[in-house]
Amino acid sequence: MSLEGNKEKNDQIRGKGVFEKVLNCTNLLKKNGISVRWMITLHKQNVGDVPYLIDLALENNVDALVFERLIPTGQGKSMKDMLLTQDELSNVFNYIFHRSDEEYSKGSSLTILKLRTLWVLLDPKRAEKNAYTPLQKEAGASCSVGMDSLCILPDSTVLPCRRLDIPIGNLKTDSLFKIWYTSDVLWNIRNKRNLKGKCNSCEFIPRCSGCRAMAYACTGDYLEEDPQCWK
Amino acid sequence: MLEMIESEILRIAEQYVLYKLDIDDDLFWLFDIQKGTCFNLNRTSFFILSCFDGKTPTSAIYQRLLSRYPNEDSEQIYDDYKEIVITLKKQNVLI
Repeated sequence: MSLEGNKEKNDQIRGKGVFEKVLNCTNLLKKNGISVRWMITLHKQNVGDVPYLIDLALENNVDALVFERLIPTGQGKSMKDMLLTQDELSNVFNYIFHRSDEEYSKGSSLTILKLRTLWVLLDPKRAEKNAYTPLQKEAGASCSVGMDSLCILPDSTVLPCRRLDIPIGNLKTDSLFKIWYTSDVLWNIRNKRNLKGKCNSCEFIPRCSGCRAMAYACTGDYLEEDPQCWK
Repeated sequence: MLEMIESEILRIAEQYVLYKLDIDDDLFWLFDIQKGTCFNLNRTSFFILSCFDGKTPTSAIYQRLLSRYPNEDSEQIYDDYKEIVITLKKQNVLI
């Protein structure tokens, strides 16, 4: 379930009463033994609420938290001014990273997932994952577009990612495998040599490669460097 | 029994797509876009398959192979090539 911040901020974005509904549903699901994951989209308006949201997740026995970056596409297209700067993102990721470690060392069952682009910058050594690294400690993952994920919209349009609004086919006319194996967009993304700017020469490509959707939303070129990368 | 007819003109069936990814070590594949199967190819098998363009006779492709590998035994090349063509025709990869 998505949460945007405290009650006031959440309901301002998601609608009146949604905050309470999320808490009620969380409790109902947990009572019935169903694991709960909250997703928070980070932007200027809610970045200050991160400590509160982690506390709230702990209070409500939430199993996992996912912090996503706001991508100015779809309904967020007009929200470019809400994007975090590189410094702001670096600071909040740093906080989440250390808070996650702190909760893990306390034996908390909350997992704060950090298997996304840019997280590798916080601790490159840790990103060299091995079989003994618990999920709670893992940080950094390459963008999965074209590797093991696709987005299929209700009208059968296929996108590389739900945030990368470039149609690469439609399941009413093309087979999934045809799209997967023949889309130029997917092949361009798979070949990391095509990445531009600092992403091109970055040593962290295997554990990052930047967000292609963010690059596309901000520059119009999905192969450009990730504009929020603070490296 | 299927045989290789040297004047035969073959192409890769529509359900298959050849792909080469240019990175440090070139990677080559044949994809079955109906079933989703992915076949890893080496440089030579990619070269051979890419010659089946629906225009070039199998004998001309064999000549290309001889020019590409001038130091190899031509009879061995012929035997291997023939086996590949017969097998792929049998599997309807080449039509």
